[in-house]
Amino acid sequence: MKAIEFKKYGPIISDKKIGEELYKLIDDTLKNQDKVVIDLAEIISMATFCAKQIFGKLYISLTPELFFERIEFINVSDDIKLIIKIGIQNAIEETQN
Amino acid sequence: MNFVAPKYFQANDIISFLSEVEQAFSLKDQMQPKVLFDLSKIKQVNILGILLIYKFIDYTYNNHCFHKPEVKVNDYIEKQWTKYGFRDLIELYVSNKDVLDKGYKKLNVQIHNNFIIAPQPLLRNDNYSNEVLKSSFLPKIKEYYSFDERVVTMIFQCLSEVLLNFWEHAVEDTKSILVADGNKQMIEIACADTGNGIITTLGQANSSENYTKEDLIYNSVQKGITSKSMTDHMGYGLWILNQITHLTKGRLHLYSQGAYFQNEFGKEKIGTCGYWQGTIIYLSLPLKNPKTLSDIGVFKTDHELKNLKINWK
Repeated sequence: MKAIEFKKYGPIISDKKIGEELYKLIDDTLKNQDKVVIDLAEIISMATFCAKQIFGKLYISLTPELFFERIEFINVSDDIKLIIKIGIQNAIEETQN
Repeated sequence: MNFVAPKYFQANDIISFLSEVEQAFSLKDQMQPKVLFDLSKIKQVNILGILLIYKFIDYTYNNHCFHKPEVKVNDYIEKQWTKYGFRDLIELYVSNKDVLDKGYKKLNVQIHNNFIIAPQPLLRNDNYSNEVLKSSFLPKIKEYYSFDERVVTMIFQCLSEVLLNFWEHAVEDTKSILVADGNKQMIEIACADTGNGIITTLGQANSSENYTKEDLIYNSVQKGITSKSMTDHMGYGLWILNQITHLTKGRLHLYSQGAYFQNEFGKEKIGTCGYWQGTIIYLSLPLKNPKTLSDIGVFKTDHELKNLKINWK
C-alpha cells in the first residue's frame, strides 16, 4: 500500500495540468500496488473539473468495486468529499449517455 | 474620438462603461488617431472598474486600435492604480516600455485593513501564475480569514472554479487577469479577458439551436451546460458560483460579447449591453454567513451521490 499526499499541489486543485499529473501518478502507482491511500490533508478545495478528471476517470476505468477496494481516502473534508462525488457521478452519467 | 469613464465606476456602472468603449473592439489594426481616454471624471472606482480600465488599455495597445492615444487621469485614479497594484503595469503602456508579463512579477498581496490580490495573469503555459497564487496568495488569504474556516472554504471554492474556467477557456495571448479585494465583511473577485467569450464558445457548441446572446449567457450559469461536452468539463463552475451567490445574497455579474447576466442579492437579470471582446466575471460575497458546496440544496437530496461507493477513512 502506498500513500499519495496531495498537499504539495494545494491548497486548491484548479488546474488541468495538475489534474492530469495526479491522475497519472495514481494510475501508475496502481500498476505496482494493490492499494493506494490518497491523503487530502491541507486541500481546501478542488475544481469540479479536476475531480472528474482524476477520480471520475479512475472510477470508470477501475469499476466501482475495485475503486472502493483499491483506493482509500484519508483527511478529506466534507466539501472535498462532495466535490469528488460530483466528479465521479458526472463521469458515470457521461458513460451512460 | 473620446472614451469617457463614468464618474462612479462600480459594479452597477459597468453597462454604461461597456456602451462607451465597445467601439474600440471594432478598431483592430486601425491605428485611429486623436483618441482621448478620459479617466479624469472618476470619483469612485472599485476593483472591477480598475481591472476593466487596464484591460481596455491592454487590448487597444496590443491590437493597434489607436495611434498615440492620450489618457487623461486625476489624482484619485492614480492613487487607486497604486492601491490595487496596477500603476506599474499601466505605466509600461504609457511609456512604451517592454510590456511583457514580467511587469507582473514584482506585485504581491497587500494586507493592511483589507487584503488585495494585485493583478495576476492566468497563463496556461506559465507555471509562474499558478505557483505564485498557490505559494503566496492563497496562504495569505487563508491566514487573513483564519477566524472562520468556512469563509476560507467558500472563497477557495469560488476561486477554484473561476481559475479553472479562465485557465481553460481563455485564449493564450489575451491574458486573463484576476484581482481580488477583501475585508472581514466581504470579498470581491474579478477576472476579465479579451479572448473568445462565453457567447462564442457556447454558441459554437450549440450551433444547431437558435439561441440569442441572452439565452447563451443565461445558459452559462445553468447546471451541466458546457462548451466542451464529452470532456472533463461538466458545466458546473459558473452554476456553483451562482448558487453560492444566491445562498449568501451576494452579487455575480457576467459580461460577454454584448450580453450580461447579473445576480444582484438573489435577483437574476439578463440583457444586452455594449460589446466586450471576451468575458468578465465579477463576484462579490458577504462573509457573515458563508456557504459552501455542501449547502447547495440539490446536493443534499441527491440519492445517486449518496449511493456512490467510496472508501473514506
